[in-house]
Amino acid sequence: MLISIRSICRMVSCGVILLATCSASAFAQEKADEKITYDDHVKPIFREKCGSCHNTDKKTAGLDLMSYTAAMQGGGSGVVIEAGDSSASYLYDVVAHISEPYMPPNSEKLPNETLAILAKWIDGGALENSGSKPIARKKPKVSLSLTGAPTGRPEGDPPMPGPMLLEPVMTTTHRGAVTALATSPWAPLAAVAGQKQVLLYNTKTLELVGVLPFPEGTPHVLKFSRNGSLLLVAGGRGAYQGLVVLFDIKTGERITEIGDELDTVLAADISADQTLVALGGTSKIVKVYKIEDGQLLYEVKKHTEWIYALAFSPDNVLLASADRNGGLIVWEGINGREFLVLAGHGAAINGLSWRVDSNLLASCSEDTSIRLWEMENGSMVKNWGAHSGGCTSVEFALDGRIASCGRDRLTQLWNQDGAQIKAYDAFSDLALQVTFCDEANRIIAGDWTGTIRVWDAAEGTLVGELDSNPPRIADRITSATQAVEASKMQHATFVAAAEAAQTAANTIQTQLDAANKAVTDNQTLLDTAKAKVGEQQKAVETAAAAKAAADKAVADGEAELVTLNEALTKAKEAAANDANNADLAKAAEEAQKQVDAKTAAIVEAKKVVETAATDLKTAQDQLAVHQKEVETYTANVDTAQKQVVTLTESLKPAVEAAAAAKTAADTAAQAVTAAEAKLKHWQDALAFAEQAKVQASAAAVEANETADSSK
Amino acid sequence: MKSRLRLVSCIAWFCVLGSFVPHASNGFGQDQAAAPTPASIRVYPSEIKLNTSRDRQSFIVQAVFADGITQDATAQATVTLANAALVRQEGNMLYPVADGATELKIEYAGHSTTIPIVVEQAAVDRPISFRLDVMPVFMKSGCNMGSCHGAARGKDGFRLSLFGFDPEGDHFRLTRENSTRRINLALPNECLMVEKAAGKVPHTGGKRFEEGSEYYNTLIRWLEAGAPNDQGEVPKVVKVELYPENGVLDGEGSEQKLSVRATYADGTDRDVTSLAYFMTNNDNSAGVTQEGVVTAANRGEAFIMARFGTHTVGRQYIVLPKGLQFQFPETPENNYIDALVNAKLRKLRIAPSELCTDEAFLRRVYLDIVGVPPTVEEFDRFMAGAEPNKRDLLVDELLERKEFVEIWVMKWAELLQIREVPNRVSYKSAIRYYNWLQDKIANNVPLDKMVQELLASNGGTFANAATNYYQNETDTLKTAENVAQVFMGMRIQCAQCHNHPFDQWTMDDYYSFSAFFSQIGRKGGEDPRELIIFNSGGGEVTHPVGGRVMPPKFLGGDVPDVAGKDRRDVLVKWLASKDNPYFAKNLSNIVWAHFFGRGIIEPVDDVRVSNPAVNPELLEELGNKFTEYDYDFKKLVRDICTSRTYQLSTQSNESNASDEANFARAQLRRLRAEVLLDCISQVTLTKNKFPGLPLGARAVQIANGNTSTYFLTTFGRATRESVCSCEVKMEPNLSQALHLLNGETINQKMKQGNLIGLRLQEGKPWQDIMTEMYIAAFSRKPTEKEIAAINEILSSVDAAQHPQVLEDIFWAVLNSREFVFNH
Repeated sequence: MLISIRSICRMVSCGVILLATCSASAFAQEKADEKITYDDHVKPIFREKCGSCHNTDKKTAGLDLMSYTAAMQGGGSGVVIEAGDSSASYLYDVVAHISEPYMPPNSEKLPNETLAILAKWIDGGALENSGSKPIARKKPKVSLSLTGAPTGRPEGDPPMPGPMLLEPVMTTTHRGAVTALATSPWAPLAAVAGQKQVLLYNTKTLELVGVLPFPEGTPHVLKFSRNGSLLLVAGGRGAYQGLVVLFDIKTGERITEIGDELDTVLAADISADQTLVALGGTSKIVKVYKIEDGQLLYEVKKHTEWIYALAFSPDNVLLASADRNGGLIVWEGINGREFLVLAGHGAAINGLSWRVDSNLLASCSEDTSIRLWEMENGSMVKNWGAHSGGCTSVEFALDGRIASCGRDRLTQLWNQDGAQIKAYDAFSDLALQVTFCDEANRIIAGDWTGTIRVWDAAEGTLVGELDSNPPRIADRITSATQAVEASKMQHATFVAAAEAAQTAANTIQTQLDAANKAVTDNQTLLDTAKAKVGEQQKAVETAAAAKAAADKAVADGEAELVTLNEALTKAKEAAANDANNADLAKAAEEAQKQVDAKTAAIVEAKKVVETAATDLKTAQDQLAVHQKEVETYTANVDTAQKQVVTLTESLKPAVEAAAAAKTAADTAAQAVTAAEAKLKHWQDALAFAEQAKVQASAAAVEANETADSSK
Repeated sequence: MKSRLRLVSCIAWFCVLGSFVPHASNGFGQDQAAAPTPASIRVYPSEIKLNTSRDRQSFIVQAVFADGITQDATAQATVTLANAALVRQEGNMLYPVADGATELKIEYAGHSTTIPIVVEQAAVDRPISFRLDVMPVFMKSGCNMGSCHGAARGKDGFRLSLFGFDPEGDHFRLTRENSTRRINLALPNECLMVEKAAGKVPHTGGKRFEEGSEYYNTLIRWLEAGAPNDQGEVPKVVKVELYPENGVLDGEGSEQKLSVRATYADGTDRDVTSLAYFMTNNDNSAGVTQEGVVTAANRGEAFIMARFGTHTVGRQYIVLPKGLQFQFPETPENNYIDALVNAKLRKLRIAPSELCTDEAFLRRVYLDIVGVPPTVEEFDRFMAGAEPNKRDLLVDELLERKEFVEIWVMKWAELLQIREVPNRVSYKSAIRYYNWLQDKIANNVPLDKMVQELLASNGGTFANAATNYYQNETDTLKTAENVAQVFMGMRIQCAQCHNHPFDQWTMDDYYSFSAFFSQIGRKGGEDPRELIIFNSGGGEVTHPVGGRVMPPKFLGGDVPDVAGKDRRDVLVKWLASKDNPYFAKNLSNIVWAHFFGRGIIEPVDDVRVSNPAVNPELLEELGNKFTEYDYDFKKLVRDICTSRTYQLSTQSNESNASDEANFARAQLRRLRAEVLLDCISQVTLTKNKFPGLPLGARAVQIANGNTSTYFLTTFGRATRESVCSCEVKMEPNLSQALHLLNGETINQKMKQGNLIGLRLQEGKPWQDIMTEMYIAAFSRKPTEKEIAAINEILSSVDAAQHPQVLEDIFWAVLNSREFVFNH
């Protein structure tokens, strides 16, 4: 009964298909409903819900659901999928909780939609893939192989990213721990693991030069190929998916994807000749794939713990693998034959690095040590405790120096004898990854908080930081615009300041000139006044002399008058006595005349004295005036001179300040230019990104059209 | 011919003898449920403090009916907040809104209660704490269980400390052991820890919680804060309360919501209902979900527990059939034991069985107190006795017999592991040790004095035999474990490696207690077999996590001053005293278990929060009495044996048929190996010879734990290799039955003693012989039916075969359950 209903359904859906061919789009849904296949619908369910146990490695209860063939083969309890009858399929019964043991264990029943897909798939004949394409879709061939391993610097310009998308896949609020770092051996280029992306930075300018999207999850491994032209990115989503992706450094193009793990890949490397990729992780198995077709070449199952590190030797001969237990084994790269077992580490090995001549392998471990192994007999040639608490990362520079970092938060540079060359500033938390940029002679390390620092290897000076969580271009443009505005405003401020400083200097100069002039003027006045004082003093002397002479004349006259009066008196007496004596009278008259004359002369003389006194006073007054003038002018000169000194002193700094302000203004002008350049850079980047988007959608449309026309 | 006959007769006899097995008698009628008006309501908690913005507190309303039945009325009660501006209510959960004090008024069925609420720091968001917030999620979600990441080597490459004893290490392993795998601060929702737990990617442990659940959000919030570790000391949980205090659930399917509140050292409290791990010790009666809802199932009693941090608290839940009507019968109470046992039975609605017959009592009390059945003369004398208190008199008489001492010397010898150990404990040492013990018990030395002398002993193992205790066990930690197990009834072994998952003991407690035994010096004596024990005055115990030196601390008690003192001296003065709340109760429980076949806490040496006493009041009172009696356990035995509870019949009634734990009836107990052998020997008139003992000595008297016979080993004699109460195996098994049927012991002893032959020679009629045999073996006379059946067999054969038939009957008697069991 059931079967007949089912066959009716099938007939109905067949009819639908016939209709669908007439109008494809209208019946797309029905068309999808018809073809439930292992590859397209069922495998993802198995992967998600059953893969942790029923996988190719574990095969719990002998059942492997990760490939169609194995799934159809069944497990320890026999065939689990009866094509065409879900109710008779053990697998369906246990997942649908029809019979015990309910699967997946310790979980809720699968959602009804999922169960419906499974039922439909089994009832529909358990197809492997869509009927129209019965043969497995082959991966396109990829040819990257080189003839032999490159031994030195490749010819021509070292591979650097061309114009590339700079828009980050995502920008998170917080940063995660630094999971991987790598530098190109031949170019100033560093790769930094971000969230679902890899960021490429120029190690000289520390500028972002590329973003490689990795939507599969977190990149755990970054490795440049030996010639620097490829970047291997390995990682994935924990307990869900792991793979290796190869990117072209110049174009940023995703070349191929390798591996299909059920947990994130923890270790990977690409062989020097670019033909093989090795990967490993929590499955404890090292898997080596051919890049050409993505097929598994061999597996090594000797490790007893999670694979933590893998490294192909630069000469393409050996592959070293290390695990969480301290196990370190070297294999023949091409076939996985065991070459050397390097016993010594007592705890998890976090990193491996070959010296460029392939004769020496460095390993670093949680047991704190870095060990160097030679490849003749596999003996340990050097062993030193590098980082207390554990060494987390190690890398050989091309010149044989060794960079390392560890749980002691330090990043260090060693020579091959284990002698420390340099230790760099400690991080604030565990240092996790280190890489050495040979081109820039810079050491780059990242820590648990997500900080990535770049130091000058020789000097130990901090050059700058790289951002594992860069902002979006739009944000960059916003901040660049703001920076431009800010720099312009600053520039304006500086210019104004320069002008003000110049004005201030000029004012001082003017004042100084005035002061100088005041000095000169006052000096002249002073000199004049001094001369006048001299003259006036002479005048005073002359006047004094004249007065003295006049005084003397008066005195002389009065003295003579006295004598004359006596003579008059005598003459008068004599005349009186001899009244007749005309001679006497005449003499008396004569004497009287003389007295009168004298008296008159005295009066005259006194007048002269008065005049002289007046003159003297005038002269003296004049002198006093001039003397005062001298004082005044002397004081003026003094003041002016002092002013000159002060102004001269202040003039120099003012001039300097003006010059400095000018320089600052010029610098600010340069800053404006730089900010504008940066803004333009990001605007260009945005334009590029948009163009790329347009091109991509155009390409998609074209592809669709091609596809449609080919139908 | 003989064996076939024997087989036939033995089947016949099993049929006859089988009839003594108790049958259920009529119980009590059931009426329909009474009017549903509660007598009172109880509201938990009694006061509510809400501190910081993320705090919350659930409340529970429980209605109590007149007959003790409880009902969850949380959803039905009317709840009013005095000031709704301070507190927000969602269901039975309260959230802070603004600082202040208010009240919550709860009304239900005419009753009303008010509980105060204080809100503090309502605007303050307490920063997330790894220990306070994140670790409980791992505990609740089972991440750090022993079968998952808590295993010693972790699971699938990731380890957490078992039940979270090492938060520092767990923080390291989560964040920095493998810095880039387990967490991702940039994308908290997509990191492995979260995706695995939420079942977004395959996880061997399956989905532990939903995306967006409280647990999920806690992890995310911690990651978004940068996965911080706690700075400085984090307040420890000092108290965990589980509400309601108890429940009596009416009928299958009734539910009771629980609320768990933790109080921290800084005085704050927190509703941890969602973080507590719920357990039941009997999900046949009451199950509990991880959301904290108890659901009643079958009639019975369950202890519902909640574990948070290192604290486990439990509450008693009784499940009754829907609408059960029950009247507790009028029963006399001989002493406090009966009063307390009946009090518990009243709660459970279980009626005790009837008093057992004099015959049953006689056999029971002889086997329990002196380890041999009464002789024919003793039987006749007791049965003829007419005194109303003849049972009490018999108990007093038996307590004065030396066999009583021997029984308890044997029991103590098991606890003290008295035995010879090649290359360590010489035979001489063991014998001297045994003699020391016998001397103490025989002289009725108070048990506290005996234990003090034992544990504080110094000197040579020959000169002062008590020091053998420290020769038997030389490992410091093991010694501490043994002392805790024997004298306090606690198995603290778990706490050696992690905090005890089902008890209060932490690793700190374990190593602090062990520190009392870290300064025991041992050196050889003159005799190479002798060891001299002394106080070395030096030596410390360090904590394995962090290597701290642990100061000696009493288990569950204080840190005493031990400077310059013998640490063991300090310990014993606390251990064997009333300061130690466990000592008297534990020893009382050991004594009790001897007479009832199971302890009030069972097993007796597994005292823990999650294995509660079925009757704590009784245990408490026994402990008090024991202390009052100055640790004279003879007086305790007298109380027990004269109680009505001890003298109950094994016949069950309807209400107690399914109950085995509450002493509502006497339990059938197989005789222990030594007693059984002594019984067989006494009944068959034979003698045993054990190494080091004279011919005719009883198996109970064997001093050396290494001495055994096939019979004793088969019936579970303790090897004394450990102090565990499980050393003595009491379970009946097939090889025991086969050994009795076909083995050498019974057959040979019957031949050797030739009881039937002797009596026939004496010319006794078969009826007399059978009566003697029945009294000797069963402490009763044969019934009419049995005599008739024997007569029938005898009359069906020749007289010449009569001895043979009588012997076969004797054999069947010795093989019967009535003989092998104490009842």
